[in-house]
Amino acid sequence: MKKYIIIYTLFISIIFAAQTFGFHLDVEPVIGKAGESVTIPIKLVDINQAMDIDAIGFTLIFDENQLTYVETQNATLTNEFHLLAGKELQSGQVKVLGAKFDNPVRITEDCILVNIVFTIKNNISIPCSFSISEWLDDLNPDSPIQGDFNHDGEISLIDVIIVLQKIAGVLPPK
Amino acid sequence: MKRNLMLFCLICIASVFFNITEVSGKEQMTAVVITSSAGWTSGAHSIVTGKPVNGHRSVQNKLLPTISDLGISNHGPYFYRIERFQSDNISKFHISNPANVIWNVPALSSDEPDLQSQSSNPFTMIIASNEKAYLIRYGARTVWIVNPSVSYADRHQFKIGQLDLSAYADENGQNDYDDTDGYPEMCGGKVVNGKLFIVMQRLVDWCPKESVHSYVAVFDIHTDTEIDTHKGEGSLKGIKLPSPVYDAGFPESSSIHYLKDNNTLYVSGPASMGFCTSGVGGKGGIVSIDPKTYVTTIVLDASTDTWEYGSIFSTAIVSPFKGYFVSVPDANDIGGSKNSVHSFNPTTGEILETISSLGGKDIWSMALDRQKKLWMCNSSDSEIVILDTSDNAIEERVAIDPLPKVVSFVYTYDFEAGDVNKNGIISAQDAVDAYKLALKNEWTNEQLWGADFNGDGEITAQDAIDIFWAGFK
Repeated sequence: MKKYIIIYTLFISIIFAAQTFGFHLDVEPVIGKAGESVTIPIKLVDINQAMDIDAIGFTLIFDENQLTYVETQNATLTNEFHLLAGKELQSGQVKVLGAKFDNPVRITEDCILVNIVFTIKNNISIPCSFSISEWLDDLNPDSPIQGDFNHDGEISLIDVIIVLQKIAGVLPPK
Repeated sequence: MKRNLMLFCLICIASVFFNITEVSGKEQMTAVVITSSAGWTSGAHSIVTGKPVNGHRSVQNKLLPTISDLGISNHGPYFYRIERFQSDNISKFHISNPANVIWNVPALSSDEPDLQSQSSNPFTMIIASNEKAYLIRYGARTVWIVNPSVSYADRHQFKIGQLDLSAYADENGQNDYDDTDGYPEMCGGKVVNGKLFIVMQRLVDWCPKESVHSYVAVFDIHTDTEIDTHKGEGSLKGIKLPSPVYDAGFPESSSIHYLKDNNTLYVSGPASMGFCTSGVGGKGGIVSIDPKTYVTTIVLDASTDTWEYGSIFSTAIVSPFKGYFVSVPDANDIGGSKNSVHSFNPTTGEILETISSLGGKDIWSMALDRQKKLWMCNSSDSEIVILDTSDNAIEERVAIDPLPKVVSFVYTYDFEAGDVNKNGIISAQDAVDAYKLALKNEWTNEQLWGADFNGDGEITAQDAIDIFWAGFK
């Protein structure tokens, strides 16, 4: 009986843990004068569970009539990334990818993911907003490869052990 | 016991709720077989499925009939059919549409001098990466460096450079080791650990000569410069193959092997056969080559008085402890009625077993697939014989029309190269996963397909970087 209670407890814990991994990406609208350069921070907020991040990707959609994309810059989270780049693949859409090849960055609180620099084409008096789509990799809550917690490209017993360690709160520092 | 049971239960629960499932890339193998009519008047290619259904593989025969003197190379989902002597061209196919030519390119330049019988006689293409391969040209003194991925529109840019092997065929003949007929008879090779090993038969007027040994030239594939192995004679930088391995690399489709298990190259040669009655090299042999030190070791010596078999013809190396060779006692016995097939130990040279079911058959060549099944081209019965090398049992005989000569394997997966985690998207995570595989320096064939983005046969940091940038496409 005791055995079943332990299993049941862990069973419930795993479901809870899976549901509690969460965060949001936040981008504030911009205003400004024609010709000005503006830096837009892409923030990772409402983090309710520590996250290990070594690969990111998203597409930022902006109003191409008001803004001209210039570049993507490293920020708090991506300062140690080995590769970070943004490309305007279509007018008004910048795809951003970042990768860190050694240990992932562990985040436990709100931080800035990247900064994206634009120049303003025409005066913007009504705040111009952005939207984000195509969340990839560690930003994708619906990643088809769920369970690959050590990001070795395989789902193995090690990943299960990591989950159990997370639940038990005994995960060693990386 | 209780603890183990509990752990098992926990893993099962975790598996269900975290979608922990075995992600399989569903490797699919297809064999491409070069065929020839009995009188060598025409040829074609056949396609054989790798996996049997209800015990049988399916076959498509007589695809795109052409001349009989053909070679075959493959890379990724593509294969290249090479028309050789005095046809001198290469056609590219995708395995999913094996009768449709993607492009056809010449294997000689219109103004190219110094070709044997005005033919470059392209034998095989050795792939170094997606954008680089080496075209081995039997009738020329230069290897062409080519781009096998060139598009149809850019096919005139197929040739991107060349390697000079003229030192191995010095017409002036100042030394007794000079191949004075002017052609080194390059016939095949392998890329191993960033080096290209090119086997040259170095025949003199089509026959082996005692003082003119077969050689292996070694080139750095990053700089395309020849490496001095200090194993050659005089100014020759390559590796001199020891007697009795004359006529090395014949037939080229199954006489040059690389075994990753022990990081060793194996080259076999039948020495004097057919009309070359001088008897140089006895009945040939097999030599191993250390690709790092270039030291050669004779594995099988068929020149000794105690050798009970015929000339060593086609060979296959399964492991450090198991290989196969075809014994040809009489090269004038066209039907191969005296031939036999034997297994041997490549480490000790011990002959292990005679495969009785293949006695008296004309086995032109053989090739080992990833499942360690040996596919043997049995021209006597116009069939491919698939041998399980674990017990030498015949798994299946596949009828081929016309006669099978050479078999090559194309492996494909149901996910795109670069999609290392097989989630259908190439992204930064794939780059990170590729980098970790490169660091680990260990991978499965499936992982290699996913992460070897530049197609050079290994996973490196460069693949990770390339995959990262591919995420923007």
